[in-house]
Amino acid sequence: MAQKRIAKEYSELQKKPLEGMKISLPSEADMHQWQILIDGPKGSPYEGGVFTLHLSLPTEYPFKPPTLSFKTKIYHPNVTNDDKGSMCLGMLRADEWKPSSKIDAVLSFAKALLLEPQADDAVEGGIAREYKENKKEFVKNAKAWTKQYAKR
Amino acid sequence: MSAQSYDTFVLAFSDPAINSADPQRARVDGNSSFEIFDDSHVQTLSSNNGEGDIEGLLYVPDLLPSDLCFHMSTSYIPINVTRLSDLPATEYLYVAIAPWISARCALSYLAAAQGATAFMFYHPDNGSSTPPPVSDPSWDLGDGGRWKAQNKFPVYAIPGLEGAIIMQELAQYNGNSSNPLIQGILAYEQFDQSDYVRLYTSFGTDGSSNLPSLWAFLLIVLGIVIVLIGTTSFSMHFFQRRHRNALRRRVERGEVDLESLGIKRSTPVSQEEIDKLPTYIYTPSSDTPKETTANPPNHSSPASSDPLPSQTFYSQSSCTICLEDFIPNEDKVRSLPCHHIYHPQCIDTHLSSRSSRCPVCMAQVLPRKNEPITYAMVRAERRIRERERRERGEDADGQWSSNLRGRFESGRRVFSMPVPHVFSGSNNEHTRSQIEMDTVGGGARAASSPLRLPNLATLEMSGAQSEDPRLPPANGYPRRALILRQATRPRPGQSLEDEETERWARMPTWRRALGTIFPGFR
Ligand SMILES: [Zn+2]
Ligand SMILES: [Zn+2]
Repeated sequence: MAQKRIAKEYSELQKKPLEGMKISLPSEADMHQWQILIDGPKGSPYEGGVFTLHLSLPTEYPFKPPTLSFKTKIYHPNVTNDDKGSMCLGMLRADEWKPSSKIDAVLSFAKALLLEPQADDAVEGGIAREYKENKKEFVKNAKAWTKQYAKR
Repeated sequence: MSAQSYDTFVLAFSDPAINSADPQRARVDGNSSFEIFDDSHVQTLSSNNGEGDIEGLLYVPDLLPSDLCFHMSTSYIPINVTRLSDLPATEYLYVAIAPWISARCALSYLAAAQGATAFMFYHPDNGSSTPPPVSDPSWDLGDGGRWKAQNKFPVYAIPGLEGAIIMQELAQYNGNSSNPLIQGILAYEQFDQSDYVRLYTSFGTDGSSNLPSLWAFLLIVLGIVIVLIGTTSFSMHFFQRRHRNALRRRVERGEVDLESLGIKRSTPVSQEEIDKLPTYIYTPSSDTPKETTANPPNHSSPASSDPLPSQTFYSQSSCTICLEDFIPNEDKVRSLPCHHIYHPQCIDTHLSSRSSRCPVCMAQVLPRKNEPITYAMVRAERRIRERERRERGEDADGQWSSNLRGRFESGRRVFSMPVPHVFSGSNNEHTRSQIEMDTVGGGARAASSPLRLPNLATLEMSGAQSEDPRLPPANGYPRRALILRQATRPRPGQSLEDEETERWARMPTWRRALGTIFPGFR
């Protein structure tokens, strides 16, 4: 069932792409691994950058949540600052996930998170503190990273 | 073992050297001869090897004439007293007896009694009272008690008067049939005139009457400890059980939702429970849906008594798990208590492998009964309730709404991205029907049990359409539910239950045993 649903969601997203996102399959043979290019949303410190994300859909999808990771380094409280760049938050958590949630929602969620980080639920404590206490500094750093790592 | 009593009596017995094939023994009646039985004045000085029957022919050990004690003893010991040489040399046990004249002489006697089964001492001037206990300085041999280890036999003390009497009788019941007393007894007991008549002593070392001393004390202490542990354990179990039952009742009444509080992991549903959920053939028209399985007991007649099913059938045209449209009059669909419908193969996988909740509205599928409630849940729930009470107290001055609204807002964003409502384009036909579904489902649930915590989907809808009278009040339970949810959210993907199980597994066995006996001790 996973295959069919993933194919359906993929073709739907190709037909009606989400704004500022390009979705592709690194390997046509494997529907479970998606590559997504997200434009940094307007009005966020990530504006002007383009971020590569990796979406991995488990074989139990949609019963288990997909995992989303940033391949492009990003200065963000909810994305781990390591080579995994993983994001585990909200609907992507195993106990929050609903099988009725769709990938477009997951991606929209990721994009919304770029616009507004969730400092209270951070994986990078230092960045979260900075975001809460010294937003100016945070914006400066995030912009610098965007410039350095997320160049078009 | 210590002795409680001793019995010294006259024994007639055949000479084993002459008649070893058929040894004869006869206890001579004490009334017509001599007997001392004392069960209240025996003192144990050393209990070495004092096990089993301690008995034997009574005699006075021989000291060397060169030993000063030999001479010191003459005033206490008659000349013709029974010596080892007056007893047959084979197959008999011997008990030695001697007056305790001085420490040095006691050592001499002990050394001379090697081979005896026991030694009997008496203070010649002790009278008829119980000899002093072993701790008394009168028994001190000046070697710090080493003599006890050196002698392999037990040593007892008897009253001085009894000792003196026995000493006299040891001289009477001695010798051969030329002694008229011996001759009379041998004749009376029909023994051969060459046989023996001597004093015999046996000690009563009854184990059970020994108990009142140290063992009994230890047993009493042990008993008290066991009773204390038992009552403590019992009352802890009792109170925890009461708390668990109270929480279970509240869960059953729908006042608490453990899963949404993050206290309990959602439980997969057994196939048996899944089979109780009705299935229908999907019909898009207003025709009464055809039922394909027997009505479950909790849905007496979903088609006729409940107006919602048909409505549900209109608004939900596809399965939200596989995203396929239902094929009218062909696809079998399973209806959950919240009236969301799915392909059985889709929803069954979800229910049996993941969660007992509807994938769309998170409503509970299982009847809220027989939920295993652990004490950890009770504590977690109480903690949450107290925190909530505190929050309410803080907000009582009018800051309530603004304070809470902020949390509510952030809680909504963090924990549940409303799939269709916030992000999807509203021109999507499928999505719109989902919104309708959520509204209908939420309203139905709110109406049927107003106290139950609404799920998040409903909350989002209530935020968007708070004027809808079917929805829970905007400032009642829903917000509270959200705050609780946020405040108690455990680590991602892990519920309190998992943590508890993990912690329990990491504990050493003794901690687990202790935790089982004293459930509060964790
Ligand atoms: Zn389906
Ligand atoms: Zn539902």
